[in-house]
Amino acid sequence: MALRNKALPCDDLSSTPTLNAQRKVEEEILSNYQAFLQQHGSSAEAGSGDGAPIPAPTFDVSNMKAFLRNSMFRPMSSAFSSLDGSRAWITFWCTQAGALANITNFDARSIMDFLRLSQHPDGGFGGGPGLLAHLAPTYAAVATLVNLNREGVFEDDEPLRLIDRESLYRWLMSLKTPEGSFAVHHDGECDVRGSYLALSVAQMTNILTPELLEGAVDWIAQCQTYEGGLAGRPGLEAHGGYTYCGVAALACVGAIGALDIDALTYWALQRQMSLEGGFQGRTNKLVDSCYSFWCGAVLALLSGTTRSVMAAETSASLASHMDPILFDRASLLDYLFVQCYDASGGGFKDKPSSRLDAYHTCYSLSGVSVAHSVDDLPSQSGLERPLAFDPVKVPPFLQHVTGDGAGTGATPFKYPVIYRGRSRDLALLSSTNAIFNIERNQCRKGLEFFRSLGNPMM
Amino acid sequence: MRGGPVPGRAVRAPPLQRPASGLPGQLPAEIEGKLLCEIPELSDITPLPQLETETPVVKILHSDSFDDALSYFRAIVQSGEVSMRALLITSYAAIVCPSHYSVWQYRRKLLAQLKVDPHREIEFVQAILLDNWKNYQLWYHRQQLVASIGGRSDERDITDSCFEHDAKNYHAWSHRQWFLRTYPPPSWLVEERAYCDRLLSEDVRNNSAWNQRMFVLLHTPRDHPEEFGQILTAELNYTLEKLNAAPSNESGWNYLRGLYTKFPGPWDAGFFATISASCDALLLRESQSPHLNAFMFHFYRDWAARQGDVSIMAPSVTIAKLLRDEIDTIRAKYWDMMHERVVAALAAAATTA
Repeated sequence: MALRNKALPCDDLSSTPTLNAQRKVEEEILSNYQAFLQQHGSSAEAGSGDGAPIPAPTFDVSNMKAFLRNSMFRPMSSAFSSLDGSRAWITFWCTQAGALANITNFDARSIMDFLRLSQHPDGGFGGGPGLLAHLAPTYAAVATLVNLNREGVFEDDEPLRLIDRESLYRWLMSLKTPEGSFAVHHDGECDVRGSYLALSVAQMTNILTPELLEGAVDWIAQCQTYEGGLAGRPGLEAHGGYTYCGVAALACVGAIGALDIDALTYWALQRQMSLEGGFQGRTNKLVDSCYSFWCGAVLALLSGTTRSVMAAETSASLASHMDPILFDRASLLDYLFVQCYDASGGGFKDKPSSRLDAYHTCYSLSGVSVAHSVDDLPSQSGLERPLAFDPVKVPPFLQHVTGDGAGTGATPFKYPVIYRGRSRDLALLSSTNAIFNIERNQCRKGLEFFRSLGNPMM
Repeated sequence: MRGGPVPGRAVRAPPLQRPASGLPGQLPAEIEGKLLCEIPELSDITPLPQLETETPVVKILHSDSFDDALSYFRAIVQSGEVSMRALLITSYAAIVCPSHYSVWQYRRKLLAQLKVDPHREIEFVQAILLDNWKNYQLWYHRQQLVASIGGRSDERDITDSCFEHDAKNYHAWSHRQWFLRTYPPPSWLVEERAYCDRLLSEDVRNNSAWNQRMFVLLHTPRDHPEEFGQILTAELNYTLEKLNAAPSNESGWNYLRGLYTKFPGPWDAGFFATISASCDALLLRESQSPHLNAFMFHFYRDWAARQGDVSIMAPSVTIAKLLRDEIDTIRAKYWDMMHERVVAALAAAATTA
């Protein structure tokens, strides 16, 4: 990005809606980067790629706890009424952001009670108490409960036990369509979000069956477009959010190999903006911090496959020395910390000119996680491996091996930030499991817990 | 609710007296501006307040009209009431909260059971859509209505109006594709390509319009290879012309690559010659363009794979280094990897030769 690399601002001087919007964002971002360098007395020139050392940005989470807690426990004004069907999402955004920033001392029992009340008697969760079950809040509720299930707060995995798995399974089956997609609710729209939400919830809670999966992989693969990314439905435009859903859905059943990996990799990398450092969601659209996760996680999920392709086509030595996370990690973190973090508000914004919110705080921190932690995912090179429905053990491809890169031969990635006046590495944050987007240790605990119960549908 | 809910059985309440001219959702003149709790015909319904936990979580302090509408909505859902007044209640709820998926789902149930004319409902949803273009529920609702009248509504019109405000609206493109696929109007392929051309002449970086052009191609019959080859060749020339005018437009490069990766055929040799000649010409004035160079890198590699002749990708080695070291350094790791892969492939081919 502009701090480290030679920036490539749009060089076309004609006036179209796309170019005018892009130029406006570029001007603002470049001037923010320049101001940041000046404030830190750096001689580097933003956008020149002159190789001068870049100062560490400040990342002070002091106000984040209050922001997240208020988002959940302080009543919102009627300006937020349109979120009435999405209340479970807000608990997920806040608790996942908190889990990654090591802010976990919320009133977890009240959040659990709220989700319990939002569970539908016929399976799944609604966006709030009394609402029809919908896949989005169902994922949000399950992920939140897995994140909340901490020792010392709950006994006997109480948050996980409240999920009624048998009715959940019947409901998921009832959302399946003949084409292999899932409707997001009864008599609701079908797109690749549905596939991800249904399969990830089923895999997490250990109710995945061959019947539930039937046709799903092929349908998702049809969503890959000529650009390389995935669309919400076959024929539509490749989009970062839908691409994440399709790729993570396949990753969670061990079937990433159903896609054209080279085309997907290049498309996802192209979404990183050379001047801004952050990702856009579609070709010729604007940067937005939430795609730090949607696109960044896609590339993290491809890391094992990237390394194994490199080993097969070149040499084991080259493969072990490469950084298999192919996007520019430092530039993404620069965008997030210099342009999007609002320290006084305690959260992240979409772009510097926007206001912070829980959604962007969650997906920015999740993006920070996929950028900073060295992920060594097992390769998913093809469909030749039987899809795993292991009802007892956690399939290895769901597990992320976390480390500092030692043993792989890759240079460990360091990104210093100033935290409470001291230089610290981002290791102060927890990491996410990129398939489920749940804090990694909590995710493993959840997977293991549901394996200990067995798969009631097999 | 008085009398209590009757599980599993729909309750028919007396129909609400409404002016015959009113749309199913339009509020009759005499109740305009009133809350539901002020309407005498609803006085036998006990509104159900939102259920909350002891310590409320993500609580929203809604306006009075929101609470009023949703409380009545919850009451009719619980009792399973099917009636015109229940439909009116869902109109209130849909107007205060168009994103409420439960409201639209229940409303569809009512519309079907009450046999409401879908044309009138289309007008209702249109009125709300005009202020809520980015809403999954409304577009899905509209789709169901259009399907219920066998597609006898040209949905290109409503999406045209949406694209006047936002030419990249994902929901509208999705709706348009659904309509064209399900109820293809005669000669839509030609008309749609012309429409995409119009959008691209307004904004050549509108990637949604490029994608729609590809949608048209993917639906073009291929049973006469010669005709299809002519269409493809016209597309190729069109794209090269647009790229010549705006070489930093990634949408055009992606489309160009899509043209030859998605549609292999007898035209391949001609395509290879045309594309490489155009790129070479463009390179004379745009030698440092990352988009052009990245395209050429992939082009040689794709073509080597297509022809089973690794030597075709030889130029990709230098291009990858240029991209990695100078003009696309944010993707240096990718170009480094691709450089190694191309070098290894060329070396392996040299050994076997």
